[in-house]
Amino acid sequence: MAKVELKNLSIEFGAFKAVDDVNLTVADGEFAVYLGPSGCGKTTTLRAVAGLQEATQGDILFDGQRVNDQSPSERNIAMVFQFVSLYPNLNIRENIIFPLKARGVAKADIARKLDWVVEIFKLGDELKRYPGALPPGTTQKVALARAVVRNPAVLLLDEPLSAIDEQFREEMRWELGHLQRELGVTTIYVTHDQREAMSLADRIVLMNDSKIVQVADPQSMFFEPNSEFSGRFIGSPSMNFVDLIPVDPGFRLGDSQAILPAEAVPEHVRNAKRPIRMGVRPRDVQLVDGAAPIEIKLPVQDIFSVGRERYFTFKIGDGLAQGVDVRAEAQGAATSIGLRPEGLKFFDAQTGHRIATDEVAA
Amino acid sequence: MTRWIILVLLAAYTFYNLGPILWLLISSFKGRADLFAMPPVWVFDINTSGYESVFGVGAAAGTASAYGVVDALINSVIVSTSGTVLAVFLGTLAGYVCSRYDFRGKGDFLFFVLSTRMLPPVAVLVFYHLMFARLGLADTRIGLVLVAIFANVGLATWIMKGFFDGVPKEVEQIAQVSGYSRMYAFIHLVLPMVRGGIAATAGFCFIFAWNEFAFASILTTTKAKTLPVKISAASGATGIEWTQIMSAGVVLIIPVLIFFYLIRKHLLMGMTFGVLGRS
Repeated sequence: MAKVELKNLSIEFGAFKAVDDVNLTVADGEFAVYLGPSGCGKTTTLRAVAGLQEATQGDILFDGQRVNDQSPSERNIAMVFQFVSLYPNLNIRENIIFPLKARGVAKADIARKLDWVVEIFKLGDELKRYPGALPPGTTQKVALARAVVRNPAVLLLDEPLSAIDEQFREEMRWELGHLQRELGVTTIYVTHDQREAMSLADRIVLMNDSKIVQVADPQSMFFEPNSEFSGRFIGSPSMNFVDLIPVDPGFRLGDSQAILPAEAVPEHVRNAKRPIRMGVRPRDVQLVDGAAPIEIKLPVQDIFSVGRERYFTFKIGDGLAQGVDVRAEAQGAATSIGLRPEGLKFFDAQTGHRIATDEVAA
Repeated sequence: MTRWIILVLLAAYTFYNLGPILWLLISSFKGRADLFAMPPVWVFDINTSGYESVFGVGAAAGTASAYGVVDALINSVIVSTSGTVLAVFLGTLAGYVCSRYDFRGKGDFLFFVLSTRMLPPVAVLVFYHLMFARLGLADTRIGLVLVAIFANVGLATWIMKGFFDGVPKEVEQIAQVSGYSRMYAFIHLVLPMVRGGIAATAGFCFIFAWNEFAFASILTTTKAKTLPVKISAASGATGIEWTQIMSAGVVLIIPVLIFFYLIRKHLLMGMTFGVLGRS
């Protein structure tokens, strides 16, 4: 087990900066998830931690020891890759004990450790089979078994579930989360799937354009996005955004005629003297039933229900926004929506940063 | 019906390919009269004079008509085999590096390597001749081995690069993160996966080296003559010795057959490599 630190890490491919001055500490035993759109530098960062990618600048530390110059085999890490994960010419047993053989582990120990992971991953029936004969889900299970079999200091997972069927993926996700907590191994997980990140992570490291955007636990990331990007990337359906145009009194919502009362916007935002963009999660938008704290005249367009949840779209000027009302008593009204004041987040329309208060650090 | 058409077409194609070899084989056992009979005779007295002459045995032993192909055969085998082994060895290493590593001037290097095969031999023969004379390599096997390496290593590099490109990078990466060195991964995991490619490359190189004529004819005089050169010079006092040439031709083909028989299993793997690679 180890603490992993990245200090001013930059990785360049020619003129392209794939990773730009990243600083991060992953605590011992923590499950950190790198999340971001493809090409944001998350996999490159992971590969640098593994030693498969050289850092152009900056340091990578395991438990305070600089490991930049160590080869992957010296770092005591284990990694699971996205697609190609097993050796087709080795059977499942041989694949799993592959890393143990690298270290010349004694036969009795190999047998003991093999039994242990086979028990965890329920692979008893598969040991004699070859990877080609297994479904992708099971293949990744074997890859995970191989990764944890020798108690690595750091477990690195590069979108390990993305090649697996939707249904099985969910099951694997729960198992993986459970396993990680049981083993307590420091884990860095890369994904572009925010639901995976939300359900697995102790902390999410959100990346975009080669930089870290926000580091926070899933709940904070969801409820207190520090930027427009965080708000858009986390949560499904995505956060709604609209520019606030100051009128007297209050604020006009984008190119619509609807007015947001001035009291709905906190004083520090109003005083910031910056162009304001408001973000609100669909779950903080309600179908008006007369009880909504803030009521706004915006026409509701479509409503459909999934069980208790009522998904609806409403128009802001020419644009469409989404809402989800989960209240049993919610009534549809065709001309107005309600907003929950605590769900309103305010961003600088130019920089995309959250307009900070003393309580909420940007 | 279509089945029969296909069969007939395949038979015709097979005959088109193997016909000349069959002709060669038959002709090598014909005497001069039968050889030139028109229409060709299919029933004839077996005449082994060609082979006797070629190997310097029987009636031809010790006589002037003994034509000493054995030395040339040995030269050919040594030159082609060592040339192939070395070219494939170097090409495999270079191909791996070009497939897996980025280095300054990689594109130029690959083009340069390929460009060594772009010139017709004639264009550089004179310079080779002068250079070999100066270096004392003229009429030596070592000289011809060097030529065989030079002529084939570029091709070997390119083919092997292609095969290595077909091996997922994760093969080494998994090994590395499992605690093995890159060298271990290369030798124990990657190389076995491309052994079909190595066999195919060796096949190409061996054929090229075995059939090489232009360099061997200019750079050798007596000692290091290879079999193709030797055969071309088989015109004696009584004109062109066709029976001898046919017999020597058969001798020329046999080692190639043996070579491909030996590598046939791997070769098949090389041909289906694309299918196996990403499994």
